Amino acid sequence: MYLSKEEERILNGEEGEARRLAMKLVVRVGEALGAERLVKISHAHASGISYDNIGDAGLEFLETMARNGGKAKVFATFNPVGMCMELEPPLKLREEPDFVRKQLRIVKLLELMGFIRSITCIPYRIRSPRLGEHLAWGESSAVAVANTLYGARTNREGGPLALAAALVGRTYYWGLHLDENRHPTIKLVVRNAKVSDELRAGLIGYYMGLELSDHIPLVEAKLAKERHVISMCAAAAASGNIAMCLVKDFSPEYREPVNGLERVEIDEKELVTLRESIETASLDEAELFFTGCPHHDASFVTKVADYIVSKNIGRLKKEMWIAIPGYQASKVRDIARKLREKNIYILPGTCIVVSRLRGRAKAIATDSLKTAFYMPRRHGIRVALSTAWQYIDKFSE
Amino acid sequence: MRLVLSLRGYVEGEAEGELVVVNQRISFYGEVRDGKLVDGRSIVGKILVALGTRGSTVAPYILYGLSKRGLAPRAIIVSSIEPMLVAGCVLSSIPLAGGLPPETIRQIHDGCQGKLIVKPPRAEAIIEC
Repeated sequence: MYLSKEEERILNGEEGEARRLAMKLVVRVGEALGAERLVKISHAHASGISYDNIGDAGLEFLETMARNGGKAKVFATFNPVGMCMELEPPLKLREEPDFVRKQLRIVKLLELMGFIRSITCIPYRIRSPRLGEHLAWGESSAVAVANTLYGARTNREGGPLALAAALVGRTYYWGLHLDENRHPTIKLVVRNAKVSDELRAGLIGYYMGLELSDHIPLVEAKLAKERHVISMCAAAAASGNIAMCLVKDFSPEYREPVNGLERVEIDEKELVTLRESIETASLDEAELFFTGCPHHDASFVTKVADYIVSKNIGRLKKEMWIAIPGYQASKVRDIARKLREKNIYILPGTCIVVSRLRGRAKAIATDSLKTAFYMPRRHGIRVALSTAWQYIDKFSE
Repeated sequence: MRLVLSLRGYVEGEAEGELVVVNQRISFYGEVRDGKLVDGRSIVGKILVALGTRGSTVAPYILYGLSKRGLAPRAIIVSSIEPMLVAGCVLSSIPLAGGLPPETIRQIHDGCQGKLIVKPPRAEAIIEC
């Protein structure tokens, strides 16, 4: 691989041991893939932050990088953690002290290395990526959103590689960083199905992940909002490995190829069948409702509060949890207190998948198909699907 | 049946052992725990053969954690490659090859014996069933 003089200096350890190790990892992965050179990035986003996910091995990796003087060279953010930050958690769950200590240590190490205390899986809300900009992002949903909604360029980087890229300000020039790899390779047409909520958008994404992985799908579907595209991307990057799709009216790089594309059509029937295969619990069996995977912006919390007021709802019979970015916790402090009285809890900087907040729940409800993918596999928890509004209406007093 | 396959090598190394075959993409987060697949099959010390990877980008940490605890596969062979699998195998020093034809995955099964030699960018796999 060609390296510039500065890159060689870093690889020789002239900018410290942490950057040497980071550069070694980036170069080794790039060389393995056949990249010819590196590319400068403007934003790195590290995944693999929850202690529940990465354990002692991951913590040691971060310790090594920080102890050796690792400092981010570019704007750097990081993913949610394994517990509620800033606000009181919904359950009176006594987190094990060892778990809390190690999780806080992970956050501290990242901050020492110059990462912004973002604690979120929607880094594009902190800094909007620009069209054509090079990034090194972990977090599968954010990667798909960066490529799809913003036309920025990132591969699905693993957590350690994204961290290493932050320290050296570069990643390998390969895959979705190159113009020629950003063209659609298959067309997905969703017929006779209006997508008016994120649950339905997620179902389309889940289908894409299962059936169209390794492709860049050109999506023709009636998606109404940006949040629907986000939900679709997140599901496609969980049930499969979709790193990018091109969505009419949303993707800056959307264009119909002159020579046409292989075409896959689905309709309402396929979406219903798919939903039946995913849904393993009824709404009545669900012990709580979780939304915010990917994280909701804090404005969603206000929307829920307004809905509760407009419908004159006293209290929900079952809990509702809303996950938002950790950095937005202070914004919702007052409203969160009022919502607790309605049995609605705000989870800043975490979610039900990467934390231990699930406790002993056996079944939950969610509007997130990404959550629906992971909960049974990772935690053995059954899942019911519902929109937030259907859940509120059904369980309001 | 004896197959001699010329593959794309990604992470250097040699391995010999029993195959565990997954005819789909795997998310190391959620579908692998404590050295076992979600269906209960062990991958410890085996040559893991899969269509590819999917899901969470925490995968390299999961692989790294498995390798630290002696629960990692001895080598990995996939059809389609993802950068995060390369990163995980580099960190964990697990030999990795790609480009296995999907139809070959359907011909082989758990218990077949495999030998993999990876010298990037080339690799050779010998599989006997």
